[in-house]
Amino acid sequence: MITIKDVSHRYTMGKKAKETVVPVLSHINFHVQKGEIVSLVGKSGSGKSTLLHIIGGFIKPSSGEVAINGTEITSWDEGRLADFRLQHIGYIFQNFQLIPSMTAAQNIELPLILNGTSKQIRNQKVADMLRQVELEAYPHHYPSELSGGQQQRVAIARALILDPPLILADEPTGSLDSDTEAELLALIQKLNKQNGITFFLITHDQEVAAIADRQLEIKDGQMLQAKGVMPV
Amino acid sequence: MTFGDKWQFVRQNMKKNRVRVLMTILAAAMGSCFLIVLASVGFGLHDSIVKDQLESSAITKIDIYGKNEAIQIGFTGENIAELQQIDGVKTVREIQYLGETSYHIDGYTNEMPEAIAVDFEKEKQVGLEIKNGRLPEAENEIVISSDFAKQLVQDDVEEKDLYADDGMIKTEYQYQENLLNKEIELQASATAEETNELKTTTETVKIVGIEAAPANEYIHMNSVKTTPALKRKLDDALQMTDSYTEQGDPLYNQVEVYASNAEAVDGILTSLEEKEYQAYSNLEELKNINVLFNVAKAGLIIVGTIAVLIASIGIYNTMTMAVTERAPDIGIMKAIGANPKTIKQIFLMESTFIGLAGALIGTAVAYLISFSVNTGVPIILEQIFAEEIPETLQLSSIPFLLVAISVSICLIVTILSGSRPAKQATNVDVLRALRREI
Repeated sequence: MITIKDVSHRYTMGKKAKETVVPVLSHINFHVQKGEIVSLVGKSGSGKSTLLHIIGGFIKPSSGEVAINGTEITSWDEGRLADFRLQHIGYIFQNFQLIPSMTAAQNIELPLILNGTSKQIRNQKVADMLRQVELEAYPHHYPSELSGGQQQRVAIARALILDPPLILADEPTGSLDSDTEAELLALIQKLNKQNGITFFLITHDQEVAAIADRQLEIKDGQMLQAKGVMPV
Repeated sequence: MTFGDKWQFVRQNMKKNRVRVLMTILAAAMGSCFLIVLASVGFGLHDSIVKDQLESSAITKIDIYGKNEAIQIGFTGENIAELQQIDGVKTVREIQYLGETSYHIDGYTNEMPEAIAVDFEKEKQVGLEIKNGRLPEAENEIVISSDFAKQLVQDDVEEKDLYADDGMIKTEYQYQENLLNKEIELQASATAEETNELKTTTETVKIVGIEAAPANEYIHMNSVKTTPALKRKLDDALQMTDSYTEQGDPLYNQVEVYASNAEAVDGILTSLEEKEYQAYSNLEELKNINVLFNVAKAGLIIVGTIAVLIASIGIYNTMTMAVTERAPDIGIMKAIGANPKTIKQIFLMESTFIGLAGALIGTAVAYLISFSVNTGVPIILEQIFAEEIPETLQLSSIPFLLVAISVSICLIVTILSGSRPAKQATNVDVLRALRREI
């Protein structure tokens, strides 16, 4: 599902005369199988978010190749990446990233709108999805009227609405209390088992990392080790 | 993403900033309205002048002033025949001046009307309308213009008492009775070139017809039309020979060529030039007027466009603020998979809507102002100057062309002013937007 081949990345800081190059990732290689839950753990500043953004197509790596579902995306332009992201990748953010002026149903509907789905099908799919994430009682609630756990479920529903084969999650439980975190992890496992969706989670929380079939660890931009049932 | 969904986004976005969007639409409307009202003055005056031209003179008429090779003054019968043969010519109207004539009846005199001898069959063809009576059939019969009687004034009144404040002869000194079928004394005079002796002759002529008033009420015609036979009779009596060739054929002082339609005028003018006639057409004047007014209208539109450009600064500002405010939402949409083109289209749609709404409101208000100006200003002017304003005068006119130009300018300007903020929206960095750093 995800193939990372010799990916390195560095940031250039400062203006031309005083440019400083900061290496973030160094020669990263790994592969994520279809239907796996893989967690990437590492300390703050280790480069895990950068790696996730490279996989999501938000950042172009300084070198190396990224392939999603067998398609090499490194050289694509922003428009093509956006279209690809819409169809193949669902994104779950730490801070939910819901549009505050839209209701829960409207936020979930957004990818369907971008996809050009008809209103009738949209209504049906959103209702199904609300039921699936147990939010059928809150379709017209705005994010500010929902709890953190409910907001994250809206975010998950939005990520899943187009049935993407891959979900990228950036600290998905970072803003949740322990009870809600447990609920969310159970939901992720359920979706993985029922729908065969591949999850790539980055976290520094060992409880989150523990639900993964395989754990990857990154330190100072370098992949350290792999734990779990599937080989790297 | 369908057009309808994009429009929903635009509506939602505008709802969030209703007041700001309304103010921007208002600015665009004011710019558009200013452009239309300003240019409408040019269009209105142009229409008035063209209408005036068309009413005061036939555009199919071509005045012939002379021929380069002619050795005598005036046009001969051969010239008339040559002109008649030009393609597209309907009628050639030849005119002989009667010279100095005055008309006397019951102690009233009309001193200096324009007196001409014409072929009345041709007069009918070129649209001579008789209000009362008929056309002359006998030698000593004449037709007078509708204003002839107003210039027929009492003989024993001093000139200083004769005129009213408006420069017209006072009604009480004008001849009041009906002139139709009345006999009037025609006095013709001429100075012999060789002896310098003033000769005078008198004929009694009968007024058999009165012409219809011209379409333009501000044209006052004091004229007399009679037969070529009377002209010859008067010339014989005065021993005037310069209106005739050596063979005794008449020489015409003025010739007018009438084209069968306006399209034929250009071809006739070319033929006239080839035949070395000096000619002038009202159509040429009309073309010159059109050129002049088109330049003026273009100038007014350019000045009006400045107002739209000023309004566009407002649109640019509104759209830039909208992009800045919505950067986090744009970031989320892009992260989910919104194509940058889609984002750009949404913002362009919004600025286009503002421009279009402004242009339409501006157009509606401009029509209202134009109507008020056309109705109100003549009344005000009449009150101030105590003078009647001509009915043909239109101070403001808004043809569909002007509306189309204004809406197009407004749309182009607003799309251009919205395009940079729309581009900014596509360039929003997803990660920075998600971190609320924009």
